[in-house]
Amino acid sequence: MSDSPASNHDAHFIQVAKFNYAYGDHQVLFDVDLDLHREDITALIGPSGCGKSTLLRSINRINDLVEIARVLSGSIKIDGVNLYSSEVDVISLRRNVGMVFQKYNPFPRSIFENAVYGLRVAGIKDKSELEEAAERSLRIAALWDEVKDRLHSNATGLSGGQQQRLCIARAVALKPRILLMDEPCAALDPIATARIEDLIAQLRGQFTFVIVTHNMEQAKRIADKTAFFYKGKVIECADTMDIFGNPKNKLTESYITGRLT
Amino acid sequence: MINTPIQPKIDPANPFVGRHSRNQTLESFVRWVLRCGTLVIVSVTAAIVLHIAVKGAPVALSREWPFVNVAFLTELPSTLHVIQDNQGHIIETDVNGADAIKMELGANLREEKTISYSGGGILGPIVGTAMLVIVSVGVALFLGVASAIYLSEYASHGTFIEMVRLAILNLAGVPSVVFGLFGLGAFVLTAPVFTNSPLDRAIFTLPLGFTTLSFQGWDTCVLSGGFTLAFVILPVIITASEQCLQAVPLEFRETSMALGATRWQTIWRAVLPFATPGILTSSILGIARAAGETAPIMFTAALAFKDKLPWQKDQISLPADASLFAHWEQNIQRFLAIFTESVQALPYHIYTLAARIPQNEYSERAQYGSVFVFLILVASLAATSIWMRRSLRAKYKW
Repeated sequence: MSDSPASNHDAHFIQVAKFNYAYGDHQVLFDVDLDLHREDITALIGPSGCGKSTLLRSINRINDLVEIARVLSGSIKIDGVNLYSSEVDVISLRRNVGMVFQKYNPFPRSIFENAVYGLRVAGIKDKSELEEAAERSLRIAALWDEVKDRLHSNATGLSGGQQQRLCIARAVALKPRILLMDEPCAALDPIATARIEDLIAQLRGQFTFVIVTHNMEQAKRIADKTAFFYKGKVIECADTMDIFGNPKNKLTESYITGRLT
Repeated sequence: MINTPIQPKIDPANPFVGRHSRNQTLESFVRWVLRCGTLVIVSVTAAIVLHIAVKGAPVALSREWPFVNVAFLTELPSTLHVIQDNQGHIIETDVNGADAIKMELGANLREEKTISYSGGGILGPIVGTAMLVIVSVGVALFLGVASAIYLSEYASHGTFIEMVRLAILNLAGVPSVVFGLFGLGAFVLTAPVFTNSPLDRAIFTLPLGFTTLSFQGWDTCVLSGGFTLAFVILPVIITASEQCLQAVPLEFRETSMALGATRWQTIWRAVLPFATPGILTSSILGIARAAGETAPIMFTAALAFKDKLPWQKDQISLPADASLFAHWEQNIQRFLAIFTESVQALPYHIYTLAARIPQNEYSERAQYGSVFVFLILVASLAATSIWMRRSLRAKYKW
């Protein structure tokens, strides 16, 4: 995918088309259409159970781990390549599409081992290469200065916010082009949340972000585009300013004003 | 009716004073029933351990340095000769010393008693049990952890897998003597061996050119007994290992896969390391179980008496000009031969002493000595498992 020629199709970088998705007999996404732009920060908002996390987890196909999950119809394309076509290798897809989860969950190993986990499973053994990658990704995640003296102590000794930034470092170590974030601040206090938001703002342009959030203020603060999901459908997707300032759909308006039950 | 107080009479000095209600009586009754039940178990356990310690400790331990009865732990079992002279002196000796003493006593000899298996020590049974445990835990850990990983990480949920789980649970309920008979049929009499001269009893032979694969069994030996014991402890190890794998958070697997790991890489790097403490703990409990089983090894590995350790065997000496390779080959064969020997085992030795020879003070002494040593071994295994779980849990907590 990295050598795809279609780099000028910025408007169609991640293209979700008529995407229908189900867990067993329970359909959770209905005809989802989305166009995500390269290097944009896109926020997916909507009430719990609206399918926004499912869509996010379909972009790196981590939802394949759910036994009963299946694509009914439609496609998700990155740079024109359908992720669910048979020639896509899910391992190299996931190396290109990093993911940060809701609950910070570093492995109970050293900070260094966490940072280079993706490289280790990719088969990189060279020590200096691993050390460089660890420093680079920890710097990207704005964690380097805090942990450089204790790289080999256990990651579970870090604070919650630090652990989540370590998870971001772990994801960016593989130099992905896309970073998926599933409510990255849901388990953090306001100060740690602010640091993560600052970090995302700093990384704008380096990655294409797709962020699921329940926090509408957060979407307002960091997102370029916002998509509002309701009951498995995309109700509205537009510039964040327009969604929050001038929503076209009644449902969107009632959700962002807190009146949607 | 509406405002009728529950407690009609209230003491103004202490409004909370009152009689015990029925529920409170029941409460203390239940508490005492449960407490007594627990107490019964504790006292029975204490009685068993104390009884064994009081009777066995004098045999296995000693008052002087090194505070253990070295001979009891380092000699093979032998027949005990007890010689009594006319003055009532009692001399204990083995078969080699008996003649000299009798000669010396001459007409002064009143009587000589011989008690089977009760002389010497219990090195043979200790070694045999250790070898059986090593083989069985090796086999059971490999098979058990492999199938636990398959069941927990790979197999998709469905009726078939539930049936497999049920079958494994049922395996745990099979009486151990049935395992013994299974081992006799499967390992002693039919397991395949490579040999150039197959026995007639082989049910099936497969010529391979340079040698023949003959299904003639491994005979009564450590290997047969170890494999049989492995199947006895497999259900414990599979069930415990599966629980330990399930206890590792699902997020570890998702994160690992999201970082581009394959399923096996995920298991190897993000699941197994954190399940290992529990798996090891359960396997040590498996060791204790394997060490204690008698029935499965009766037909497959254990002898009531053997005057040699497995590696004490006559060797054909190689010619002086034998190549290094020939020496290597002989050493390897000598090592492998250790596992094709039958052995004594502690539980079977205790059974022999307690039930298969006439009882007297000497056989009882040997019996309690063996039981005491056995108890110490099993207790130290359990202690090791607790210690390991603690230290590994501290390292890998999440």
